[in-house]
Amino acid sequence: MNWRDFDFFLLSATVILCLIGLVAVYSATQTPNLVALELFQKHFFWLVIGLFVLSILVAVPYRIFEAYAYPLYGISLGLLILVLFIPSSAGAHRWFKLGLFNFQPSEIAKITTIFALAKYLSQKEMRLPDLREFFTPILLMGLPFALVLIEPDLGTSLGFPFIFFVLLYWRGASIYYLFFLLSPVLSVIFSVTLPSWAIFAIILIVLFIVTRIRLTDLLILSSINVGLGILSPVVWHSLKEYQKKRLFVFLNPNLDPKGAGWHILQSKIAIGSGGLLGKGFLQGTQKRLAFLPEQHTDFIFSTFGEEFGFLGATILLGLYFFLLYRAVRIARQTRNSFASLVVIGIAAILFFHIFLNMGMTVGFLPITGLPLPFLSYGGSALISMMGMVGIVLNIGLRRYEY
Amino acid sequence: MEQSKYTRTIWFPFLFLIVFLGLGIRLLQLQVKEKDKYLRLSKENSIKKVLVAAPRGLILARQGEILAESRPKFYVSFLPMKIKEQNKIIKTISALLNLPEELIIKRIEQVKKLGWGEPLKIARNLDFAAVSRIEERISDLPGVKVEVEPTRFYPKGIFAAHLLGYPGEITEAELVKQKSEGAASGGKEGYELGDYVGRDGIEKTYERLLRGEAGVEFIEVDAQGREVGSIEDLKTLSPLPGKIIYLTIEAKLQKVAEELLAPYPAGAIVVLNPQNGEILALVSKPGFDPNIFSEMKKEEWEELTKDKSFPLWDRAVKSGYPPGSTFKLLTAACALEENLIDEKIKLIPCTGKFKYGNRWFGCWKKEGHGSLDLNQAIVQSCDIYFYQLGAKLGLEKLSSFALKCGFGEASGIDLPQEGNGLVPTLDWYNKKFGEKKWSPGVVVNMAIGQGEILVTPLQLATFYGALGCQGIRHQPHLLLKVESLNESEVEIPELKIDSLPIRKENLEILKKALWGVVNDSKGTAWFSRSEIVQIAGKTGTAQNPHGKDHSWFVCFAPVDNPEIVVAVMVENIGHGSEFAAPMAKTIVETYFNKTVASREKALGLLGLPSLLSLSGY
Repeated sequence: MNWRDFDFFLLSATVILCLIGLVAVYSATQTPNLVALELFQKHFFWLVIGLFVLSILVAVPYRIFEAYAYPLYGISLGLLILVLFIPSSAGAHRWFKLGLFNFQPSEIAKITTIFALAKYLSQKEMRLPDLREFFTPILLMGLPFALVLIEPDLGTSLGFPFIFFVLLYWRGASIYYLFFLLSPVLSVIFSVTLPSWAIFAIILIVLFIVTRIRLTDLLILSSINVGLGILSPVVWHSLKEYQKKRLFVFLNPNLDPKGAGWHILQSKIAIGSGGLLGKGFLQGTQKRLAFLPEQHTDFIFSTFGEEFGFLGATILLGLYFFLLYRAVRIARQTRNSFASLVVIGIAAILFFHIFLNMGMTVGFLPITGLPLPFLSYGGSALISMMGMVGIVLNIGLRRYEY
Repeated sequence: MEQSKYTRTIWFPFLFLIVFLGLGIRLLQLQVKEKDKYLRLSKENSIKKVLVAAPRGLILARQGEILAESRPKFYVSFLPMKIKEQNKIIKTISALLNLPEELIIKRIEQVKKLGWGEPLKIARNLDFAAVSRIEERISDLPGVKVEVEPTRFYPKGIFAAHLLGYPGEITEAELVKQKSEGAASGGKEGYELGDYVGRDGIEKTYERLLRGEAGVEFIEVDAQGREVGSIEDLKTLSPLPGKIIYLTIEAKLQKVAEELLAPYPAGAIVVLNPQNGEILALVSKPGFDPNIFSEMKKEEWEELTKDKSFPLWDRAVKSGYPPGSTFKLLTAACALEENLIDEKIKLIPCTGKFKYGNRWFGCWKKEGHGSLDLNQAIVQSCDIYFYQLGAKLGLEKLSSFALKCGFGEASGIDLPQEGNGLVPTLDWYNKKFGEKKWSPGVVVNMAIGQGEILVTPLQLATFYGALGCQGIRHQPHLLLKVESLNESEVEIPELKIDSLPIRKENLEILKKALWGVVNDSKGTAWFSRSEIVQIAGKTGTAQNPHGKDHSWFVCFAPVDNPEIVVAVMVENIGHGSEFAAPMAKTIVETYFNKTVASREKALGLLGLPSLLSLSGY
């Protein structure tokens, strides 16, 4: 461990992003129907706590996380199960209401799942072209994924498979096999029409031959793909219109119930009307009309884009990119396999949040209700994001240790 | 390993870069290329979300007779804009529609306060003349539109009005409340200004099923409030009509019951099937025409609410009345269960009066009934016999037995604000009058259904139904089934079944006595016996502080396996045997005439092919 290895750039980027977040929350809460000052003060308070958590996580040697990876993972699974029995709020069982703030166990689960996967993968050479290699990682990812999915919280739950694929790739798993693991999902998607599925099936067969796949794997994968390819159109057509709608609404309660893209349009109007330089701090007009239900949380980028324009948004994107770049740099230089995997997993989850949130506010992606790291109002997410940066800094500090 | 990791991982920053570049290009498109468009939209705030009202679901009687439907009606909407002309427009509309200006201004303020941007409805349910007056001047009225919306209509007018209820426009207070609750529970689909909501009856109970889902349209308007076009990014959604509700009501019985009650100023009738709790008819008098609520005619509405006879109040399920002698069955059941009496025991003969404490209680038959057993005491409705039972049982036992039989609490019918009636207990008297400050003689009075005890016609009908059906009490209800255009099955609430705390052999004794009331020549309802079907029932003549006695009759038929219970109550008219009993008989006979006829028809249909087969076809 050498303090010269401490990544001040990464820390600076994080602090700047948090300060931007403070400004953005202050501005976004200046509306007639929010208790502005109280929200701002709370956010500031969380930020202080977040910095504290970050410092602690820099100081604690990361080997502890490795040693306790599985117990921590087990505890967070327990919390995910427990939260399902908490009476729902806003139609989902996501939060523990702890008076002062609401605690989301999925925030903890993200990081502990990274620990568990990283520990398992670091102890194993993922070189063998064999499906059995993937059984335990799939289980480790699948349990929190399923538990978060049924809360329901589609956006957050999709983060788990994303981490899974990134970590496996980082560890050196065969790209073909990663494709095979993804193939059941692709089968369902491509089974919309017969030709598209047929083309997909041909590609799959070619890859089977190229990789000289084991016979048992071949049988398992082809039966799953053929089964899903046939079953899913049948199931889909047997579902009635309202059942499909209900399925979507269940999977994603944030979906505009009227489905008409009203919120997205309002967000686009806010961002678009900001223009090149923006309307200026506190000068945004869209937020005052309170068109957006979550303008200080999920839609904070809309307010930011309106007030600081293309220039501000580009700087923000640049900061995010810089932060991710520094994290990947650490991951690449880290010698310890577990630590390297943890850092790339954290980078992946941060990227996932940034992409889904911004993609939503600019009208690329459906509304999923994921917060924008460091900017969105909300204690649970802010503290966990800052904690993750702390872990990255921690590992960066010890990157040359084996 | 190191080498392979190096080559693999070099792609990561590039991947991030590509995605971020994509976001950046999108931002360039929104904030630079299309800036003017969005700036215009943000400045003028000129996108309006227009809700397209969903037609409320049909309410049908058992055989599909339409009781409530939706009909298209004209309304005038106005898009309030920041324009100088607004006051002039309000003046013009007000003159054309004969609507006070303040009313329109008040609505505009409401909309602004609650933060909705869509055009607001200023006058609804308009006739053609009013619409043409507006249409003639429409070019002078920017932002004003005449449109059509589905409006509740009750084709049979006053028919079954109380049980159907009526819708009313949602109030500002309710919207504010919804907003605060919505913030806590989130995302729930709420109401918006101008929405109708069920205010009473089935309309209120099944609001969720009947309401349907409003559609949405988005329009872009210019500064004058004129429609420019629709927005291409936003989809239009058509409304989903409300679900279709079938009620258990037999329209024919309901009609007969309403006609029977028509000559009297006030009263109630409950007809139900004791084997499953289905309400076949439910009448309350005086009535009202629910159509006036959607027409929003202020004078008529005020007249109804100020009417001293409370025409909106559903007497059949909400009002508690002294049950009079119909309550004697409960006293008898309690005494039988306590083994105080049996079928054969005779009590002190009736001489027309009875002393309890230092007070005298009289029998309705001043010359007295002489010595009676239980059967004859019920058949002849002797008060003295039941005074004695009351005195022996005491208040505690009698009131707790009444509570166990379902009195004193709502029966659980699917109508709002069902009445509980009142079973006065020791505690109740102590609270009301103070300890020892009331006469213990109240129990003597209660034994014949007088004094403080109050029951609703529905409670009494449910109790008698259970008496007739081995003590099994079914939760009374009006919902038969629900149909939906886009859902195959709709969940309907489960019904409660319990039983009276009365043994089988005692039920038989009581049933026999009830049969005697109608079919014994000494019975109080002898004149209401039927040639078609064996009726068992009990008359009641309830004294009350409001004038002449309430006339009660509760019965079930056929006595062996009852298919129908009828409870009739006419306010302040006289004896039960004279008024209520003949009405109940008519209803029972109407029911069995119909079923006899349909049975014969069914037999005929079955008979035909068997005849054909016999004759060799």
